[in-house]
Amino acid sequence: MGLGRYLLTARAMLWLHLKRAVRYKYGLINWGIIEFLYMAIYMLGALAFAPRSEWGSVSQYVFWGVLAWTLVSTPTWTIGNWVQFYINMGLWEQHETIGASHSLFLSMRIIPAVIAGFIGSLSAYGFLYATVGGNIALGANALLTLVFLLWLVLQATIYGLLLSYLSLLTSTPGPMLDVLNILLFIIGGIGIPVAKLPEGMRLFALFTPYSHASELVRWSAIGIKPYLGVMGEVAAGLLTTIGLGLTAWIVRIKAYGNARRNGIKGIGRM
Amino acid sequence: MTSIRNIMSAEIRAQFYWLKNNKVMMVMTLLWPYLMVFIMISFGSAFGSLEEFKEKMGVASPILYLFAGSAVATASISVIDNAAGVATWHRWLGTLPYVLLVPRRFVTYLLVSSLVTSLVQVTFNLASIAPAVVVLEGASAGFQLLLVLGFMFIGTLPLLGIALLGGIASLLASEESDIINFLNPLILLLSGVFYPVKILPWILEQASYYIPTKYVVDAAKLAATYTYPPGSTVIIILYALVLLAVLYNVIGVSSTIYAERELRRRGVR
Repeated sequence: MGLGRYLLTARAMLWLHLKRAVRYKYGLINWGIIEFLYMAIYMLGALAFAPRSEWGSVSQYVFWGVLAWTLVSTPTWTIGNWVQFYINMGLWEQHETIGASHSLFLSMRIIPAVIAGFIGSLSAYGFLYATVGGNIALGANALLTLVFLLWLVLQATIYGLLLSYLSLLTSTPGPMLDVLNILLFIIGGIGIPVAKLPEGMRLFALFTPYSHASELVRWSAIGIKPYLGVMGEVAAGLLTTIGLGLTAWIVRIKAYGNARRNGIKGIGRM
Repeated sequence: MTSIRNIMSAEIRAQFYWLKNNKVMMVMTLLWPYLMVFIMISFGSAFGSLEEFKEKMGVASPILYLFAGSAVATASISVIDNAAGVATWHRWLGTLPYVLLVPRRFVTYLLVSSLVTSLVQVTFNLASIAPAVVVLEGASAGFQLLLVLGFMFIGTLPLLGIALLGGIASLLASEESDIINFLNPLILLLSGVFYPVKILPWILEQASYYIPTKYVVDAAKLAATYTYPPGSTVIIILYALVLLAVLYNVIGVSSTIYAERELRRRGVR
């Protein structure tokens, strides 16, 4: 497919996803509320383990950890789960026939995912502020924080696509394959700073892409020193992101090959 | 006309074959409560301690409570997702017009199929944690888990009433998914599974008394504290659950009857 045709396809897909977001506006708002409520549950759950006198400082770690997790999990779940809908609706065959990219179509689900994540994060900030008080989001460097948060979204998009390809291979919905993603919240250094992890987990976290971007988010937002230093985290983050991308690419070749050879199979409901 | 027994039997078979034919899905379903416990303990302990949690929740055995609480949370999510999602699932597949037009009432089909699916899921969720609970807390904890299972069965009834509202609201609004799906995490938030409800803002704390899962969580706390829970507390919990079951099912069923009439009149969109 030439670049011109690819861009035209991308434009059509962007139009579709935006149109869809407006068409299903109540669903989108509902989704944002869901993000907020789950964030609140995790934040309050963590506070239940800490003495009330320490809630001020703990809530900073908790808020940024849960926010990073939301920006990781929402696109991952959305893209990973949408492949089920994509196949049920017969969209696989349609895209296959016209030679349009399945991955591009699926990855554009980040549009509603980011909108929902934004609604959820702002509401969660307000809720935590109302519950704990004090300044939770210090915003030491707002622009850098935004850049690192977007980096997390990019990593989550690649991981979501990887889950979609795995769904095609195993006929299991993405979220069910997503156990590793949930574990990464803890052992991948998203929710908990890498320095606070036990030795074995710390080593594991350093090999995952999310930990580096999350460390950088904590550094730029609340001034927590990154475990590998700023440049070390940037370099390690880039390397691991490339590794994740290559893995997704290899699984994609296998999944598409399998689907084209044996036909597409429905994906089970959760 | 399709008998209620046929609907029940079909749902049990469907559940069985979903899991039998998809082993990965079955394993993941079994793992969810363990993951929740792991995440809450790890996340909380990084910034505090289990002792602090034990004191705040007022339970003797925090591990048993966390396992039971997580299973209750997972079960609660399953009940709402299944019951609210069945109608939109049929619309996705294009089978909703047929389901609406069969002689058996739509509301009967929704209630019976959702109840069966929910009871199977609840049993599955609670059974999944039984090995861990017995190994960590001893055989007697297994019996306490049965108490929680019993309460969760009763707690399923009011949850079904709430779920019906979610499902039909999505159909009437012609949305692709359950538009009041936020009820699921809202119910969890107000139930205080992982924290005492008294740390919630006042208005949310008051709202928690109208949430069925809160009473099942209270039962899990009793199970994690007493070998023989006090009878008076058990009766209060039962009373609250039955009251909420009547309230939510009257609202849920009447709304579904209205929705059924509307959908037959204007068609499925």
